Amino acid sequence: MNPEFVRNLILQCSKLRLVAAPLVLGMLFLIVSWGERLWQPGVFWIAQMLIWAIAILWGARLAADSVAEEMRERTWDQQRLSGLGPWQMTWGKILGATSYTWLVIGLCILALVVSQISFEQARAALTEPGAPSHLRMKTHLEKETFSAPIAALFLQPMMATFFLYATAFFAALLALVGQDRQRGLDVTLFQAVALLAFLMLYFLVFAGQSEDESPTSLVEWWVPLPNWLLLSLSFGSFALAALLGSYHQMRRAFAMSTNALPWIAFLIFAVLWMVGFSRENWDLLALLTLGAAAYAAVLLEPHRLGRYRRWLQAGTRAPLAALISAPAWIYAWVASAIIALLIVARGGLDVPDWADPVLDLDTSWAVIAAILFMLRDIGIAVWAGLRARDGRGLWAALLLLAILDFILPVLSGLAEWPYLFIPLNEISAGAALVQALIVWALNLLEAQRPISGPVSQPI
Amino acid sequence: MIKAEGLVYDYARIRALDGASLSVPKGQVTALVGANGAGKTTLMRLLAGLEQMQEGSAVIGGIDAARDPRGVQRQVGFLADFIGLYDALSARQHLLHFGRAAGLSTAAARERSDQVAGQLAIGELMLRGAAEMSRGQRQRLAIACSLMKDPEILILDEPASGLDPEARAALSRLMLSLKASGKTLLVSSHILSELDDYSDRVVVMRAGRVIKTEDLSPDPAAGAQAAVPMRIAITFGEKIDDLEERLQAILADFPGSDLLSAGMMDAQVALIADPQMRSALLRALIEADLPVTDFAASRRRLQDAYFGAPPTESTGGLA
Repeated sequence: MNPEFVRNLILQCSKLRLVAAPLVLGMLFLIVSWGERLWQPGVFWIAQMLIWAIAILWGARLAADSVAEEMRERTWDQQRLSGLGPWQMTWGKILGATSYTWLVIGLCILALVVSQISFEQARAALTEPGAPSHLRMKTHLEKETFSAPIAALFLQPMMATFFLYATAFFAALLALVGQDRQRGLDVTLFQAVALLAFLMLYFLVFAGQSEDESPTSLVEWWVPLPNWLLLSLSFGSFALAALLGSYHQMRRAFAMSTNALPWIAFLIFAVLWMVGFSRENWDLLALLTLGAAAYAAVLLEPHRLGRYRRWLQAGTRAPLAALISAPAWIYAWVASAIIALLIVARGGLDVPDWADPVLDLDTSWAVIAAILFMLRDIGIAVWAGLRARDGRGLWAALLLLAILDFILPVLSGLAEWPYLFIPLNEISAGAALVQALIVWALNLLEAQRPISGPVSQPI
Repeated sequence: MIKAEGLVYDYARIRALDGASLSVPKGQVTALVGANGAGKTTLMRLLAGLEQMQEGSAVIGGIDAARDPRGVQRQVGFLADFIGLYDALSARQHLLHFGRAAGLSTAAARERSDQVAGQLAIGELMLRGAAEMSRGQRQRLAIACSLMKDPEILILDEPASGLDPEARAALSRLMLSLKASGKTLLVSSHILSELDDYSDRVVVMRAGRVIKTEDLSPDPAAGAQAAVPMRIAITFGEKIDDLEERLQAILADFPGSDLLSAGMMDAQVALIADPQMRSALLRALIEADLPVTDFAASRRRLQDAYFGAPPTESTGGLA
């Protein structure tokens, strides 16, 4: 068996903990349903709440900490030299570090299923003539609680949990690999990233929902699907993407060769998933998805001068190899630019009803301006990264982007000259081009700054 | 065993290695010394396959580090200056984990862990958690972990830092025993006297470059290389006021010899490494009625090698 999985299993699943989980949960469910029937909704709700609380507050933290702990305890070097492969390390950590939470969540899912089955049996029995009318009324009132199919009861929480864990793990790997220190708040930050991604996915699916919020209501996607099934499939597939992304990062950590093909595949998948919700607005949705991916990539990827130089040098020797090993943000931005040109070619986007006519909005120019503002923002993130010791100037970049994308647009709007910082028309496109050129000129200057030599201190 | 040429490595805007080149012979202990910031740790991490060089080449145990960093990682054991262990795991669990990670079956890993525990004298600690161990014990366990895959090369960055005198002495014995078992060791330390105890060679680094490499051991094949000078330490049984003059007079008959230092009861002499020349010098000393009590080829001390290295402009010399 995978040694990394076994090591985590030893740490997480002591005999005492293995006995404690079913004992404590069993007692809890027994107390809640005391004097009631098994289909008491309290059991159902407590089990559901426990699943989410454990997955979000505990499991996602353990998944992220499985990477952070290696940096904190300085065991990462030994692990990399141990003979373990990147795939063993990836799944050994994600599953091993969270193994105990899977056990507890599994028991809660069991409680959900048992509760639902007993409800259905009770409801069938109570439809018989002569059944007590107050119980018949009770099952009628509670049928909403127990409306999800059995498959949804285990598939949805399992996929959502897998998604939370894989995303927190991936965020930790992206941020921590290559760093020689780990701050106390980092793990909480990765947990927050996973929760944010979880909520975004959840609300995107719900935004496409056509009926009520019950698990069986249909969502218009590529094919209409019950919302529980689409949620499960979405969580599952994005979790798989995060897992493959983690493997890719792990290969990088192990100094093994990597290329951008998995990232390109992910971009295609994310666009297809998003466009499924509104095929008629495919170009706008694709642009938004690729734009978000470009921002995420440029903020999270390290930017080292040596890497850019080597990539450019490789481009002159072997252009094809360089084409599939470019920094991740380049693919997302180039794809965004292509989609933007397609939008311009078809005459721009429909002007929304709420658009203020005073603003002189021209959607074709606005799209071009948006792409150029994005290029400016990417330039800023690269600049911040090049100046940071670890290649990631995340907080400096976020601060600068907040000023450029929120504070200055508000101020320029108040000054009744919003064109400089908000993509609206050809003036905005010109302003965006000038700003992008300035930022990239700064990057060029940064690249030409001499490297200082080593400084030895007396022994 | 290790051959590196022109290694360059930059951290953002700082060049840590600036064309460092070195070679480490098989089965020897090579001491890597240099001031803080000289690039020792970066060089060691590069040689262990933990970082990738930006320029230059390194062949480690016959494997090109740029082409096959995983191959290098598999055959190198590395101990960082900070000893990283899993506090909640016992020594036995640590060794089994690293044994299985190296591809051993559980039974084979158990057998190997017993063997390594015996070699590092941590048999009594096998059931103890890493959190309950002293620094010296943790360090032995960390070395044991890296030995589980039986690497040919061990790279140890500041292994003696933070150890008490007893643990340091034990570390010296361990280094000698690892050398005796055929391992090639590259060890860095700030404590030069300690490296003296077990090092065969010294590599001096300064400002990201290797500025000097020197053998410390008396050459066992000295007889075959008569032209090579060697250092002889001589001790006398009583104080001799005019020792320096008397030795100068004796050495005048030995071409190529030199009086390196002379006190009242001891002296150091450089002499052509010819056994006949050595016995002739001893005979001459005795015939001159000097009370010789010790007469032996002496090791060149690591400190001499280090402080004998020329200063560079960037450091303005060493303190």
